[in-house]
Amino acid sequence: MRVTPFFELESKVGAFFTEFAGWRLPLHFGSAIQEAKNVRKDCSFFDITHMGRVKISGPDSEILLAKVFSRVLRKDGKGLYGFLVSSDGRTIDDTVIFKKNSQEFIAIFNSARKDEDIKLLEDEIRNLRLKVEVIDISDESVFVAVQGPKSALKISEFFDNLGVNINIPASRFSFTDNGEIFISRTGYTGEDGFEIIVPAGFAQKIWDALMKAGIPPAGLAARDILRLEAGLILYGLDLKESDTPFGSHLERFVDSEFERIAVLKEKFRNNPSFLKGVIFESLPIPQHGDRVYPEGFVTSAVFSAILRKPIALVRFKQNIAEQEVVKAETRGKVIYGTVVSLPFVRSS
Amino acid sequence: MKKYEVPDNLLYTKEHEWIKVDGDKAICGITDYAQKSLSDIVFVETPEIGREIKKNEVVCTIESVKSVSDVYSPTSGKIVDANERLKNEPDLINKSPYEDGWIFKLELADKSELEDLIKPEEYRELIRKIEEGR
Repeated sequence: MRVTPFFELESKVGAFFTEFAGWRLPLHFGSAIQEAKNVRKDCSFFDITHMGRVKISGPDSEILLAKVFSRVLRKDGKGLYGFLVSSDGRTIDDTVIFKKNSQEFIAIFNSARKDEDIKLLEDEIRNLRLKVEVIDISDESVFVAVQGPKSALKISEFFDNLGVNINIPASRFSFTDNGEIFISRTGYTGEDGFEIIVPAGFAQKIWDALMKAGIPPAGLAARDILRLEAGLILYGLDLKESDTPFGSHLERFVDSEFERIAVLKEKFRNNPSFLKGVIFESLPIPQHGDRVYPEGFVTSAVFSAILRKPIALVRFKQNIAEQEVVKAETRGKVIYGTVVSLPFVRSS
Repeated sequence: MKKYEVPDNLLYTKEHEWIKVDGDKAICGITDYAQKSLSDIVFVETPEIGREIKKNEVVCTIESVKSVSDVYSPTSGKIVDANERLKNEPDLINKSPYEDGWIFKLELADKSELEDLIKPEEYRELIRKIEEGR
């Protein structure tokens, strides 16, 4: 089991750990609900060192990304959310890729998918004889996400505490990279926030600087509540290789110029399914895989800290309209829910 | 490594319940380790008073933000009381797993069953092993 450079520090402040994708990571620091609420009204940080960070560089980088990435990265200093897609239309991962310039990119991958992602890139490089280098920089750095409406205010204080002078990215999905520190205005909570990659040796200094800036840690349980409230998918549960972004509220993350859009559309036509948000009226919280009627199944669910009800993403066989009532079977009980538009919770 | 509270005056089960024996009766709940592993508890279905239960039988369920867990009875007996406060304040189990967060009270059917339960020292060892093994 791997641990991040923050492990001892997290233990000291009472983290309860869980296993996730081969890592031992903090599940919560006492109360996931309180941690989620703090992100909605103030700001907290998540240790996301387990996530993959990969540098893509070389003269043919744009040719490679045009083949495999569902978005077209036009502007330097900007990132975009999209999907890695194989030639046969499998959705390999969801990712944010940042463009430094036409020859240098940084990609963020799900930790459980990193090896598959790199393999896809390497295969394309070999097949097309491209001049591109893919370097996994995950092990030499730590990765933290500072999230919440007060992030912008407190992140300046954080960098002051660290004695680092860096431009804070001003707009969503923009980023700064000074060669040592990478900071992007992105996140996975539906709130304003930043994701920061810093050299691994800095863990203690980063921790101290966060504490001094009044940014407390939050765990994976809070992260799961927040991302689901924001209607953001978790690859592996809500979206798998065999699913396509179509019918899943994700069409806007596939640009029309993307060559493999055709094979994705064909796959969707042959085997359509529709991912929808459902608010359930009562407990129990349904679990991944629970059956839903009309025909479908729960892909992920959690108890919403804000709505005080179970919320779920459900993959239906047919397109179910908003406001329609559906029922789920969980642990021998029947619960009723309503299909709603996403996100479940709008950012503060 | 942080410590979990394991009071010396209780007995424990492998499923992380505790039992406090007082004569022919006993109070039961879930341990500090159990409540922390569940995270925030949002609903407790308290057991029906008067029900006869066997050792290791499911007494009730606890729902946390993410999952549902069964609570097993540490011994056989009759349920003579249940903590009604948990209906409106399920997080009492998080705040006070051994006091205000107690779940049910049993009239013990067979006190010899208590011998099979885990002593505090062994329970601490059990948690340590779980934490190391993960």
